[in-house]
Amino acid sequence: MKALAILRGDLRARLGTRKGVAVQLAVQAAVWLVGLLGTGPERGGDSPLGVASVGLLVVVAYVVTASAGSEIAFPGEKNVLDLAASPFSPRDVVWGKTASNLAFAALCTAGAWPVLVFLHSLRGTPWQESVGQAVVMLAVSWGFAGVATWLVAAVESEVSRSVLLWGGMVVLLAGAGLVGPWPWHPAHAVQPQAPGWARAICSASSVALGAVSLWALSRRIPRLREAV
Amino acid sequence: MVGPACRTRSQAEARCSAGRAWCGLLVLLVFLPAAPSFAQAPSLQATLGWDGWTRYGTWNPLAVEVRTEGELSGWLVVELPQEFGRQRVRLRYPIHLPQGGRSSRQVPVWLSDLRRPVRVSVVAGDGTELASQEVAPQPEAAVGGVVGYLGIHPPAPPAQGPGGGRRVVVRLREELLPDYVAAYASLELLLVEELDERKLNEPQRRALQTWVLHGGRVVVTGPLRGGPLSSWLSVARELGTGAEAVGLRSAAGPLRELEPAGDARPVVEGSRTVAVGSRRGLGWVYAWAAGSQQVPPASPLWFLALPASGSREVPPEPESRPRLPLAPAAVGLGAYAVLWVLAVAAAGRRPWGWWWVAAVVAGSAAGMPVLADQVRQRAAPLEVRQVEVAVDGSARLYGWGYSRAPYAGNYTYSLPQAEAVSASGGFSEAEVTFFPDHTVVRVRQAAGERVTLYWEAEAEMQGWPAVEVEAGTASVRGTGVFGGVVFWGRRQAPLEQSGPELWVASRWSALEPEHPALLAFRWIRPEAATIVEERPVVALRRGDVPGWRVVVGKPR
Repeated sequence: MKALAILRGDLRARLGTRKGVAVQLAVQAAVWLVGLLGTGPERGGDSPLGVASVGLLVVVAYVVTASAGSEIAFPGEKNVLDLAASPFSPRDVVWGKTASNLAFAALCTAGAWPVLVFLHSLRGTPWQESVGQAVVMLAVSWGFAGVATWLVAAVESEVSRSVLLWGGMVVLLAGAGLVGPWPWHPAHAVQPQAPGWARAICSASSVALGAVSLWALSRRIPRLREAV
Repeated sequence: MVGPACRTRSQAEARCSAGRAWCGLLVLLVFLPAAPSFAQAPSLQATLGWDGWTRYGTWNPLAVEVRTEGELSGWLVVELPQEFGRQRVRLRYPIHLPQGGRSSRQVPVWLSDLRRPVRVSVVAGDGTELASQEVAPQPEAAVGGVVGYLGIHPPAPPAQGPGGGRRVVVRLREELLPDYVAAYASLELLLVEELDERKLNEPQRRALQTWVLHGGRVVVTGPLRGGPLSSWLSVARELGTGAEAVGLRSAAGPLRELEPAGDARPVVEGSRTVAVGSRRGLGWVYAWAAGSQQVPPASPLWFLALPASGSREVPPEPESRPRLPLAPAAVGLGAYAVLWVLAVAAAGRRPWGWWWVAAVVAGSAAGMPVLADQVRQRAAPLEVRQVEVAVDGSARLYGWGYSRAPYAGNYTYSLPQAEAVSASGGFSEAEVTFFPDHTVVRVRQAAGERVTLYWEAEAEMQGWPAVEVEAGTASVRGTGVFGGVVFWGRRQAPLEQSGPELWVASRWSALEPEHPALLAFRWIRPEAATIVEERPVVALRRGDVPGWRVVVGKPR
């Protein structure tokens, strides 16, 4: 129940405040822009739908990760450090943050999904493809959100934390794609024609990344309390 | 033993069986009205071409007869294979028949694949197929030229048709003459030995007349009596049977003595009138002094009567680039974004707001295919070229539409009321639905494919400006004139406004063979340059779509 209180508090701060609404407006503006770019005609067999899918993944992953890592600070939201200093047990904190990350990631993915449906309908491809893409978006953004939540507790310096978080994301999303054409890489797995097994591996590894990060967080909170 | 319990059970059973009986009656009442449509399927009979002979790459008649015992309301569907079976064109004509009704029509179909069957079916309004038939065109029945005759004596035209293909002679019956002018495109010449006009309906009579006015050719080899069409086809008076033709190349045997009627001209060989010819619009009607079997294949009369072979040019395909339909996409996606933010803001404050979020996501996802369809349609507009040709009070419309699909999917194009539509280029399926007042073409294309539509229709003469041509001057009176040019002889003159609703052409200069109006006329009539030498041709620029209205005047 205490975990639910954390979930409710986070969602209220991320959606019910002026800043929360402004962030959603900015996210939807970005989604709208990516959707418009995705309407471009196909040239030489290259479909802008693939680029737009990656764009939507980046937007969703960014806003979920930034919110989880307190990079976007919402008024009234309690981050991990605040909660570590509260009477909540580490278990409650971890479960609460797990749930709030998941709910927010699901919400942002749901916000981008109709645009994916639009792009699929425009190109005559079955809209069901967009469901698989949305699953990848949800898993990847939740995984990154887990890492971001752990970094809040693990790295004291805000600058170092930001560098680590965004550097890691850039390396993983952009850099790893340059190393090789790995089908399970998020940038490939989110493509409309990606095979199901690639999406499954990508989603599973992202969920595992998030789970490990949150497990590490549960180990970190008692040490933070001892330090206080 | 009859106890109260037993009585109660038997009463319940009786009520139950009465209920079952009522249910059965209700089911019967519900299904009885629908029963005839299952029991009495309409019968369908279809034949392709001119007695089975067809010409490749043009319109051919498809005669379809539908008989029904019950009332029938649905569609007559003709499926044409194209491009080695990779493409399918489906033509849909509305059909409504009363009880015991019969419908017979000859629809024009564009044949470009003669190795696969044409499928004809009758489909009910709800999509249920009621009857179907496959008509398999024979590749060996595809010929270079077709000469049809009404009568009993087969003519003997030159064996080689246009393009070096075989020419065949086909005996026709009045009932099988097409209802639509376009279907005559595969017929080179019609010989009329006997004509029973009572067997022709009004659309057939009008189609034959319009075909001749727009370039068709008819040879009359016997005396015509009867109705208005016979009078219209009579270009000579018969004065009696003359002497045997001796030493003539045109014909052998006894010749009728003919006297030209009206503006008809005699065709004379060795002081004998062997034929009389008269212009009817852009076509010709000849009366031969000899019977059709008396005219040998090498006779000059055949070369006079048969149309010169000339391939029709088509308008150059416009260099169309797909439009990026940002406006409808921006508005649609923007509206969704606003709704989303409002719903999310509500969800952050009130628990019921989450229902709103769910409704916005589900509703928007359901509406996105509609928005996508709108965007797709706007991204691929049909670029239309239209040419209307008016001759002696009869006007025909010829249209070409070009479109390139930026995305894969279905595209819908609306055309004016057409009697024949063909589709070519890149697509997998095309469905043409002929409504009474317009035509709708739905095409399934892959991204980047270009489709070309071509249609023919009868054009309304109402609203056409009046054209008067006198020596040295041509004047055009009427509204809706946006400039134009007059061709006459080897000269041309631009139309210049000289008063309200009055345009005059008097500044003559040398004819430009590559003038856009003349090129457009050549898309319809390959011999356009010859036509403008003989008669004035006024070309008016169309205001609504790129193209021309061409009025062909009387010969000098």
